[in-house]
Amino acid sequence: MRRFILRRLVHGLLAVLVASVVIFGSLFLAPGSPVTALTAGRPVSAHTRRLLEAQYHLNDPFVVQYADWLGRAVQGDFGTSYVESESVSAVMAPRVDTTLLLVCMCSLLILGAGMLSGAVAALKRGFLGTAVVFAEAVGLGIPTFVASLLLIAVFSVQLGWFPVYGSGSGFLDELWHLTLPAIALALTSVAYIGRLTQASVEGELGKEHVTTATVRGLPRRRVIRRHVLRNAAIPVTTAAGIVIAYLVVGAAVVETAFSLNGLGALLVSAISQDDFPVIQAVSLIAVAAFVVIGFFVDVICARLDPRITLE
Amino acid sequence: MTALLEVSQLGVEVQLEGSLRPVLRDITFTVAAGEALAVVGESGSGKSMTARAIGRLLPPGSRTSGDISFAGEPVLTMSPGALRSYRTDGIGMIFQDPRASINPVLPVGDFLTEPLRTLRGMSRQQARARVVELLDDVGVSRPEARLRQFPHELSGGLLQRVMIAAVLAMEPRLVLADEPTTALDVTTQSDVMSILDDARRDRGMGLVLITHDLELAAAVCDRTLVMYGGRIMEDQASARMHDAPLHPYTAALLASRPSLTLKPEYLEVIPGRPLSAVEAPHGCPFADRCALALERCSASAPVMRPLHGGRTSCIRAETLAPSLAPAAGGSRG
Amino acid sequence: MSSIAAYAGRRRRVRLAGAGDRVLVLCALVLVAMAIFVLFGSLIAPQDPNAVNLEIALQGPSSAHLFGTDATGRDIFSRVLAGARPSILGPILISLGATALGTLIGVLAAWKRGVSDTLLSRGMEILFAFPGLLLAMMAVAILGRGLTAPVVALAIANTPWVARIIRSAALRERSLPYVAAASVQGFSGLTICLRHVMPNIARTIWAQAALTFTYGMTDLLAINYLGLGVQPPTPDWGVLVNEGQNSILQGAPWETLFASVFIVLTIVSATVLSARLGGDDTAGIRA
Repeated sequence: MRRFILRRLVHGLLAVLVASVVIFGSLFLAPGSPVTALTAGRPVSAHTRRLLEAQYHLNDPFVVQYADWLGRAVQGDFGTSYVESESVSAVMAPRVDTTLLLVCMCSLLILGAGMLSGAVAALKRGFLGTAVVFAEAVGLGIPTFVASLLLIAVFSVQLGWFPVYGSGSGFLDELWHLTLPAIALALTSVAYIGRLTQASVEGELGKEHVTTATVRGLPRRRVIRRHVLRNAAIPVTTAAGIVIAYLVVGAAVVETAFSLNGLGALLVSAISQDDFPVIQAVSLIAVAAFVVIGFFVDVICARLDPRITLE
Repeated sequence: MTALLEVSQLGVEVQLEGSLRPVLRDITFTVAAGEALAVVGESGSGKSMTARAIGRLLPPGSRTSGDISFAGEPVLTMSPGALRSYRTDGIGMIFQDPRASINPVLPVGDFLTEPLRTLRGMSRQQARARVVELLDDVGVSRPEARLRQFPHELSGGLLQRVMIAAVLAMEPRLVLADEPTTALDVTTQSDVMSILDDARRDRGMGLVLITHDLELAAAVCDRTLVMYGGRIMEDQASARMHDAPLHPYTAALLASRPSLTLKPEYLEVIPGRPLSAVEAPHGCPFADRCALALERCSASAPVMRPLHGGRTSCIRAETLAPSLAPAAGGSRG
Repeated sequence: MSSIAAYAGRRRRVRLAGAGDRVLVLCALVLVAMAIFVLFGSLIAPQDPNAVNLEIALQGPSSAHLFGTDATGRDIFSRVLAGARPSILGPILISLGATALGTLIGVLAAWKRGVSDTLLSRGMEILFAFPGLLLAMMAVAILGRGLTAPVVALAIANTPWVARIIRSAALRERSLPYVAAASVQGFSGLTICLRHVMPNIARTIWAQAALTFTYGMTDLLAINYLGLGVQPPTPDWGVLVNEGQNSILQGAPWETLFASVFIVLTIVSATVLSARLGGDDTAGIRA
């Protein structure tokens, strides 16, 4: 087990490293010099240009720039924003908790509603099961940005139950403001996890070891809990991990739709303005978050199913 | 001996491609306490389905007719509570593939002790001690260490011994073993089979052994039931059956076994392919492959009746019996 | 020998759908309608999608304007029809790219196994860490706004998903006895692959193509919605949803609403089709 964890850790670090090269390198390839972005296209003297290039290390070889960037990124210093002219960390800091809260609320929704509806659909045939299947099919087909706006149209504008824009102040107020965005972001994933859970539970129900447990006289509830659901949870956990890890990026859409001040919205505006340091920083964080979540999911799954440690 | 298990006119229909198709017809037999009965047949004969019916493990949407009673209690209509105690104390089942039958993500010890803790109220230590004893009985080395291992770490033979230990732990009155050694290699087969046989004799448990192996049936069981196409063809004491089969099908099966000593020009085969229970026609299911069949064999449904100390469903049994014995050349005579 | 040849490469016929399967027919009809709009949308449109007329701005559905008008008085119905092409063509390209590349990689990995397989699988694993949306956004950051960058990026981002599923399917096919039989007969690896393995996994490939189309559409329209892809005044459905956002506050949700309906209809129909093609009922599952 320990060897497995070590292997996954090394794997994860390698993945982040490679991703960081891709992230840093790809923006390096962008046509047009960063100087143009810095100066917002205004003509500048050669002297100013040289100063800017020195300040942002724009003439150093790729490897040096990369090592420099990565070294400082690990310490939390992502450089200076081209647009805001303050450090990237300072630009990101106030936005982190909005995105974090959003992703957490969303994850709870996905895990709770998704797994529950899937398990119900599998275990209870009849009307409830069919209704869930139908709801899931619809949920899968509505892209996040569409869901966001439909929710706004119905619940904010029409019914006035939720605020339309902004992230609010104060914890409870924030929760209220983030409710619709969380639902919008979670919708497709809830449907996906629900379907997956249903398929997994149904598959497990038909397995021989469940028949054996039943014929040994064990109470049905115990069989369902310990032999069906527990086993079925394994592939679902893996998928849920991936889904949640992707939320960080999906948040960009929702934050834009609801005018929330989060990292996702920051990413979008940074792209519109060619603010490369910010783009690099947020992308790196998104990928790192993905790898970290993936690592924890792998460990949890290995605890649930020891056969995983074999590979 | 009192009848422990009585199956009477059991018929089972299962859902296949949207319609109900019969897979078992007119199954009638009894098993006395402590008796060993073999149910022999080819694939599709319905032998596994019979075992499942006894355990009430039929697929959803199935319909049954007839009765099964265990120690006087009707099995097919039992209440859930009675069903649970039937499964706990009455019967124990061993399936063909132990790897599929044990939850792969929980340790072997958990599998073995779970019913003892949940259904017999034993404490963790008591259950562990009991289980270690049993593993020892069935010849598993280092039993304490095994408890912590997972199924994928054990060989097939070892796992099947674990299954046997698990069944013995609950001390059922009847053990249903569905091809318990088929998935194992030959040397392990005889080991495991003798363990099962010894254990059940020691404890006075009844045994219903499902197998396609006639020799195994004769070696282990007092009586043998031969099934084909969802019906019983013959029911006789194993030793006598080999000398004097009461049904052309049995005779054909016996004749088609390659001999270790003789070297014939051709191997005897039964022409055609085994009929699946679902495809069985109205009359005798073996009729179209039987060299001795007449018109009336396909015309009416076969009925089991007593003959020479056993039972047979062949309409022509009395006439044919003398010529069916292997020494007389079997069905080709 | 001839019996083995008869067994080899036998295409397994699986029932595509029950004859009376109304839902499938409905979805197929929807997709056909969309295809018509893609090809002839601008021609069928009753009015010029770009004709501005502030006097009739933000009107609800009427006989003159089936879906109403937007904030600058343009006919929403015409815009939605004209928008079919940019909205659907992009995802089709994404699907083609990802499916082709993914199938190639998946089959190669399954066939060669060993080092090639490990390399390819590891490579795909790295790609998994990049959500499609992120790659598309990074592509836009590098190459600028428009359709090219996100389409290429999304095709690349979806490739590992297709590759993984095709690889499993190919591995399963490969382990079947008929492959060994054909190999013993002297057929080359390439022949066995093309003539026997591929046709048997064809349905999986088609199912993945349809599924990738839906994922590509979801992500691409999101990019357009964010203003990073196709730019207004092109009436791409994502753009329409964005444009209509402010109008919602003013009580005129028509632009967003009807664009959304078309988006959802297309995606759901393609998802159902993909599920039926794949021959199982784990619709939309990407596990």
